Amino acid sequence: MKNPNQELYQTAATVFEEVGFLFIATEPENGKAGHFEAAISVGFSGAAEGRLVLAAYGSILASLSANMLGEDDPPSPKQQEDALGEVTNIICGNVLPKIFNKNDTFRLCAPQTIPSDEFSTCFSKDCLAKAEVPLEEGVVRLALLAESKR
Amino acid sequence: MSLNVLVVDDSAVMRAIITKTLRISGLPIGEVYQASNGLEGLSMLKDQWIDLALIDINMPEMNGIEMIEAMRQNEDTASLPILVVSTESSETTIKELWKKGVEFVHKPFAPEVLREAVIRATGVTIDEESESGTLSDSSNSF
Repeated sequence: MKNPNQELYQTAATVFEEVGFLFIATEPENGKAGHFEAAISVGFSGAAEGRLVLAAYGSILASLSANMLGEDDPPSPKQQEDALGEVTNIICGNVLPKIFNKNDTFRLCAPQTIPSDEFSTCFSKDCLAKAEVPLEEGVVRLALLAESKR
Repeated sequence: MSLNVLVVDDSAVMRAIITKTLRISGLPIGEVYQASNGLEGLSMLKDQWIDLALIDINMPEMNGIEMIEAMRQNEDTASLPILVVSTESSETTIKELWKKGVEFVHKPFAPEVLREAVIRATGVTIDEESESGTLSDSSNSF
């Protein structure tokens, strides 16, 4: 069986690199969790039901959204959260068929901003998969909570 | 002649990324209209001349599959080129889209992948010397 934690880590790292041009930290002083920036939840249904939650720590949002939009200046706070929501959505859509079955169909809900304590509660639960991705700009933590319908 | 494009995605950031990718693609892109769900997209199709629709699948109000079905049932939009840009990975769903004559681009995508899909969907061609695109004969029916 595939290792769900590895699948989640690899998918998240690839999406942050390809969509946001944010790379895995190579220097030990980088990739550490700074202050909490924002957290997103993407619910899904279909072959399994649950949600993917993601939290960003450090200074990820401004870089991510500026890179995605191709802008030099940091986009507005709303655009920054929208960018993180879209990245979470893409990670969710890509990781589900890797963990479940490639022919399974899932319906994803629109990304929603959640408070830090809600993310912490999710992250501390017994999840299907968890990952911590150290980036040059900070750290991203993810938790996949799911219940298979099979 | 340039392509008027409709981009339907519930993420404003993704709409901006797609629009920017189209603008720098070297393809003859005219107006780029945006909608945040299928209902808005269908309304835009009534009001504007559109040559190509780029549609996400998972959206609130009306999703992309429902929008495509509505378009195919309307004689004004039945043969409009459609490109689905989505995180959808189900091979079953992607095959169903191909059967409906819909091109598919998986998120995340490289700019050249989107460009090639637009070319396949519309028949637009690129003039390599001038770096500006022109529409082939097959696109005259739009």
